[in-house]
Amino acid sequence: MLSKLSTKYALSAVFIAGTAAGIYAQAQAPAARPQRKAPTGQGLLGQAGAADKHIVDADAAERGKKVYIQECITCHGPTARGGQGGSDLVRSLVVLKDRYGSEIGPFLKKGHQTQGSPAAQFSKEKIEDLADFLHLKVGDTLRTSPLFRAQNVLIGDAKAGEAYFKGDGKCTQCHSPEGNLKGIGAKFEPVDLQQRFLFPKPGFGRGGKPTMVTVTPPTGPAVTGTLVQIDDFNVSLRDADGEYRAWSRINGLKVKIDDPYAAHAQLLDRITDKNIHDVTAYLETLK
Amino acid sequence: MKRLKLITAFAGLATVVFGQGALDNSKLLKPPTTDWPTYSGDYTGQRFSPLKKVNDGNVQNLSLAWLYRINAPGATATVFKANPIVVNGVMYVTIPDHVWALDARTGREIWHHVHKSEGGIHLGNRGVGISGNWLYFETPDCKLVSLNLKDGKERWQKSICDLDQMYYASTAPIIVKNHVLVGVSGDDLDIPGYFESRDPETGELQWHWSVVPKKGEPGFETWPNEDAAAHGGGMTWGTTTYDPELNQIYFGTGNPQPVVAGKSRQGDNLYTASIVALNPDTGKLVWHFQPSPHDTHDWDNNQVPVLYDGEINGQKKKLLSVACRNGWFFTLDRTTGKAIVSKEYVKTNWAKGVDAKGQPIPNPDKEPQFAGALVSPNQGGAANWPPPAFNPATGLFYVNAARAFSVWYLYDTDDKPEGWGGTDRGGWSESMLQAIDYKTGNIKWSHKWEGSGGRSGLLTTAGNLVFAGDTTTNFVALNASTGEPLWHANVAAPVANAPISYELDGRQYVVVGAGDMLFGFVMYGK
Repeated sequence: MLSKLSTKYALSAVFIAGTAAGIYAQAQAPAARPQRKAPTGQGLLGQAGAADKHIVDADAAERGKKVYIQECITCHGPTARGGQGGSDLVRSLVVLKDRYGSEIGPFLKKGHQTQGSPAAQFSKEKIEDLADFLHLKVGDTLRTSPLFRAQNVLIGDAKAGEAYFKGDGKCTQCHSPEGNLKGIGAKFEPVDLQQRFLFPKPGFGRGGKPTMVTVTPPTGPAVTGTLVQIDDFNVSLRDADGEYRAWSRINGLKVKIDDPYAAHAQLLDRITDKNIHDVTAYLETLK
Repeated sequence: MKRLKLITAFAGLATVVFGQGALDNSKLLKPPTTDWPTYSGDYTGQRFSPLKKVNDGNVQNLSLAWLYRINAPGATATVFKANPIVVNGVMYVTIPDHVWALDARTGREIWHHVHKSEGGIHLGNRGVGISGNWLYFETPDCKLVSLNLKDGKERWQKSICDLDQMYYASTAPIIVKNHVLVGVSGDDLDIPGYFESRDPETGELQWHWSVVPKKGEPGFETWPNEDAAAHGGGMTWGTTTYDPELNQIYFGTGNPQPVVAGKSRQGDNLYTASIVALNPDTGKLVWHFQPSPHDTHDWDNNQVPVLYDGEINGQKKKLLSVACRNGWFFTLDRTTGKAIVSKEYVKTNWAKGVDAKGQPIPNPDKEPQFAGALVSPNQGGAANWPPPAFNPATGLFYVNAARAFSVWYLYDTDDKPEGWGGTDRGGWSESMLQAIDYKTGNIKWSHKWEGSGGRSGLLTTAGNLVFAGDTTTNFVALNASTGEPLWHANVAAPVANAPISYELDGRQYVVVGAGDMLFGFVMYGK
């Protein structure tokens, strides 16, 4: 482990650690470590682990990265997941049970006994910095990591996508590249384009067209409006005048729902993954 | 029975004043009537109540008897996902770190126990297990805690998993003879799943079963190497069923890990995403069946394995059925684990067919891809933890199901992906209550809910009813033979657990949780 810098690994590690550091606690002086606060906005995953778990300090991890590159990377690899004879450190119980060097420090002081390495001559500060870096690498494998994001989805054939769009996909029944899709490729990342054409229906925070409903009571005229709520027992809508109207679904009441996204739902049963990648590539060209 | 008499003698005051008292464990062997003494009502997992004072002819007269609302300042997961347990007129119900004893006639609080937490994911708690005069529950910080039924005072607590590896505990312990059976959760650090039996008196370990076999053990050949197996996942957070005649326990195991990026764990990855039968006294594996070989879609197979006796081709059989998260329904011979029925209960697109064992064959093209693969079901699955029900009178297996699509992406470009390494995004879904013929897997009736989303666990009764939550906030009773909705009540939040039923003083109660509320319905009159 305690070896010379590997330029190849160093470049990789600089890149990876650099992109990963952002989510963790803002920089604080080392002396303030006991007061570190867990990052917010991680939901349930933020609760994972012990209440007194190690909270990564971004500046300390950056310093620890330099220690890691200098001393560890050759054997344990650029992501600390193991490498040329070195074990996977992000799944090491020494690391997982560590708090600010509490386990890593004593382990290093003993030396790598299985490899016959000498005891590390690290200062307490360097050990703590290295601990921050290794905990950061553990965090990189979590769903809350900034590395947890879509890769390149543009693997399709745009011409084939256009053909599907105008042919079997029947997309032109509602859409045109010169009309309501004009410039769409410049508005969204490719993965978001892909998501939107497959799943355009509101409910995922995007707004969208309202679902319309027509209710026909047995003794009265049909009423059409924007669907408010429907279940097996009741239906309600807001009519063209903005009035709220509601009925119990009894006595022959007829209900007809007009889902503006029905064609997209129907597509899910017949579109292939190749079609999806081709259409994504095509939509991306509409800039 | 000796224990019951003993407790009655020593705790007579509590029995009279609060209606509390020890559980006669022999009740676990019979369909539930005056009690609901374990997660599914009894060991079979059927969630079938033989009560019929509430039935398809009078359910419209079901009335609200009481409403209980959580009062636990500082609690972090105030939704009743737990299955209430009822013993001697007292109901025991949980959320993470909290246990309440309530009067099952009135909903009045008798005691409230708060566990001081040391961390862990507070996703939900499935409820308590009870043996004699002791209660057992798991906590997010990996503890198995035993309380005195009478007053909620803690007897002991034992650690059953390691918080530093991001395990947590949420399962409702199941009591089989002198074994407290516990499972564990945790899906983020590529950790091994296991299942344990603990001593009911001391909490000490009796046996430990590793979901993933070690080198030299059968099943290890389904992993590429020791490192992959040692980090192979397979959590045990579902509930357990038990056949006392065969002396076998049955439960499902969770997905393998890394969860989505499976390239470093090529192979079937036994015994993850499987149904397993174990000897409850030794923890030895008897048989296994794997609904999702080499799962890469987070399709834990922790759905309830339901036990019943049925007839296949004119022969009486001891059977087990499961409606899996991956969208497939299986009926197995529970003596041997051999498949009798393998069939989709909603349409899916990830399997190429079934192999000679009746297990689906995954289509590699539908594994998560960097550019995305459209897969049905989605991560939430066609079914999930909300338990199904089986009605011996109709011969139908009921499950609140979803048909859903999402796109699965690989994110982790490392040569050795870890953690999840990808996920699914977006989605479209529809929801329905499926009534499945256990002999064929055919859908006898399907009741499609309006809209999509929330799904509850189920209860079925000898009154020819199925109780369920719909996709909105209704608690609904349907005709068990036809699927016709007969009654509903808007409970102001999506139904969050599975209903239970019990009879006290000649009145049949039906209790369900919605949000932070428990609703106690009752049939008054004759």
